[in-house]
Amino acid sequence: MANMHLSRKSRLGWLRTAFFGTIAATCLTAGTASAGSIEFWTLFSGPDGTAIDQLVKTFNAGDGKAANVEVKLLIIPWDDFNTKLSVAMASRKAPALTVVNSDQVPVYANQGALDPFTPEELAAAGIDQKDYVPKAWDAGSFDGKQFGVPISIFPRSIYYNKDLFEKAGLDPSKPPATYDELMADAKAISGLGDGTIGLYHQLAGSGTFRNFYSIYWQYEDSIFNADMTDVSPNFTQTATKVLTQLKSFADAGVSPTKDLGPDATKLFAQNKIGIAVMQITDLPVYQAAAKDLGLNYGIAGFPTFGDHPAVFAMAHEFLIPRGTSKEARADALTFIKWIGAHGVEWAKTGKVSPQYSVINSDAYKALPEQSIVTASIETAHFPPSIVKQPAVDKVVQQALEEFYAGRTDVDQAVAKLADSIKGVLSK
Amino acid sequence: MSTLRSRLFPFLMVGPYLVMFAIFLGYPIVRAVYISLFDWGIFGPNGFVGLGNYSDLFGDTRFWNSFFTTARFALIFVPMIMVVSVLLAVLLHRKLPGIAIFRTAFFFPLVVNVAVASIAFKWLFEPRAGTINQILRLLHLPDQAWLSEPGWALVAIALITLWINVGFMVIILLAGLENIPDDLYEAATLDGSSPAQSFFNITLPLLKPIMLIVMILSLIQAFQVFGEVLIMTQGGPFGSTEVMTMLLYEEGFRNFAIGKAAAIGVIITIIIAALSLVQFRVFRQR
Repeated sequence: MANMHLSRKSRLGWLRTAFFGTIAATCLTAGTASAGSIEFWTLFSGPDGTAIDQLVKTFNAGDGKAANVEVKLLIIPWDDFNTKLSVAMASRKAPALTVVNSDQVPVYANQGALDPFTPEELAAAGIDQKDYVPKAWDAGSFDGKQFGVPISIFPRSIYYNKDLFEKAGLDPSKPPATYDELMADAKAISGLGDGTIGLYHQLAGSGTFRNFYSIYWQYEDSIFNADMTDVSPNFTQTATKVLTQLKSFADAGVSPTKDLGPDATKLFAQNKIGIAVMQITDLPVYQAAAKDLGLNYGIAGFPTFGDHPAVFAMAHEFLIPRGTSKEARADALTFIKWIGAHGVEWAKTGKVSPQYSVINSDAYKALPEQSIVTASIETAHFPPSIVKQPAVDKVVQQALEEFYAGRTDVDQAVAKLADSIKGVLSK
Repeated sequence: MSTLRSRLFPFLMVGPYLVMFAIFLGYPIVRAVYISLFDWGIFGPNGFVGLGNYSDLFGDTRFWNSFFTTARFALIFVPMIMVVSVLLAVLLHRKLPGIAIFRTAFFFPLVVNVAVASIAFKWLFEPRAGTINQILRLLHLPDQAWLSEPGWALVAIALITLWINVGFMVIILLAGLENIPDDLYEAATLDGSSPAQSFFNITLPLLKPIMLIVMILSLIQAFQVFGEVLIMTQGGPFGSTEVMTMLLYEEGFRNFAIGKAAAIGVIITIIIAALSLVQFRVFRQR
């Protein structure tokens, strides 16, 4: 009733205040949900999503509360993640904190979508570069600036079925470490018959280029030339070796000629695949199969096909989008530091920790699979931090899928790889 | 005064539509043309490039591949939906008890979200456990890798696009069939015309204007197909289903080359407009 006594002028004044107040509040809350509260968008879903959700809850209830920081988690499925994040960035509604695969760091940074971490704010948050595996730390940098702080590393590795190894007369404590051993073991397991697959490596999807790079880098350190305008001068020779080796498994009848897709993990769990080339992030699936179905598996580093060991790896990197307020950045860094300190919990979801303080802890060493794969980080090879890398990966994947489908032979596939890579680099 | 009112009245009637058209179609098209002239990133223009995005696209084999893939898709989809929708419309035009139920059933897929339909069809086309391959096995026919064989993937996408849209085309054609006088069929029957002769000599010629509309709409759908491709194949296998809209999405949302994506959108619009114009002219001449 009191409003009824307000003059028309004061009512308009109130309306104006409310209107501009709402606008101001909306602007201020972009990137932060409220004072001391930050939005965190992640591409982790499935078991990873459950784990990160639990970690966020633990943080909010304990150390976060004490530090007056609340993290509001939003899980976005991987397929849509970059689309949604870029649209949010374009409309100035990006979260204060996010996580992407390290190959996306140069892409976002090049767009000016990120604000780099300054040495001062990292130091203030207690984040020390020296504690991080250098390759993982560097994967978060672009153009001399640090845009990412790694949360995990995921190199390629092999899973092998110990029961099938025993049945085939192989030593289950000695997984294959070289191309020759891999071929010999795969042949022995295929010899068991009944549709048993000796070796499975992906013939479609991102696994194709990740495996290709792993082997390529065992011969030569880069697929590009020195100024990144073309493929390496030795590309044809090296790529021919790699494709010939990869094809030899199907030619020997120990590997499927068609991709198994999601059935691969099911077949592995059903003791139908002897050795599968996957990555550490697949670990929860095999752990569940071991618990529920009695799967007896082992994990080992990526075998050496070439002159020296090397394995493809990428990192998950924390990023802070452009326009995040100073306070929200500080809050985000508090959370990043906290997650790092709880790296063992995160590693349990099938990750290699990028932090030496975690890797060297007794709790981490007690994680058998992670410890085995962590040994390979010395030879881990990250894709170069260049804007065009995801586009290169796409054309490499396409050429390899064609090759595996039998639409091109080795020479044609190598020529197509070279042309496609050059095409992307020259744009 | 009353003359002025009567002259203004039609404009008042179409006014709201024109306003909506200007806001939701006219402005976005003009804006897309504008953006296509810039190197445009996530946060807006980085510099004016004139027709640079267009010349880049015309020199890019990936663009031409996507163009020919879209054309191939249209060549599969348009005749398919034309034949199926005309046949269904003729069958559903019969005055039989309960025919409305069938009409509703064929129209129903149109209200199903493309994403939902695509996910459902992805399962149906699944090579091992999918229903379609199970039926093939029952018929002692070989399994097909529907979504991982370049030859079949585009056909599979055409089939789902057909399933979603055929009901709408049937409704349009049914409206056309309603306008064909029954007298013509009765006279033809008295003259000894068979049902097939009546179909080819009466139904099809008189349905031609409506079929033109159906063809244009189908062609537009073919050039705009996206959701089915994104969900079912992501442009694969080996880029064999990377239609122009998929390339637009890749450039815009994966590579953040918004200017180039806008240029692709403008090219698609021009192609659709040109094809529609040609079809209108051809049918008018006949």
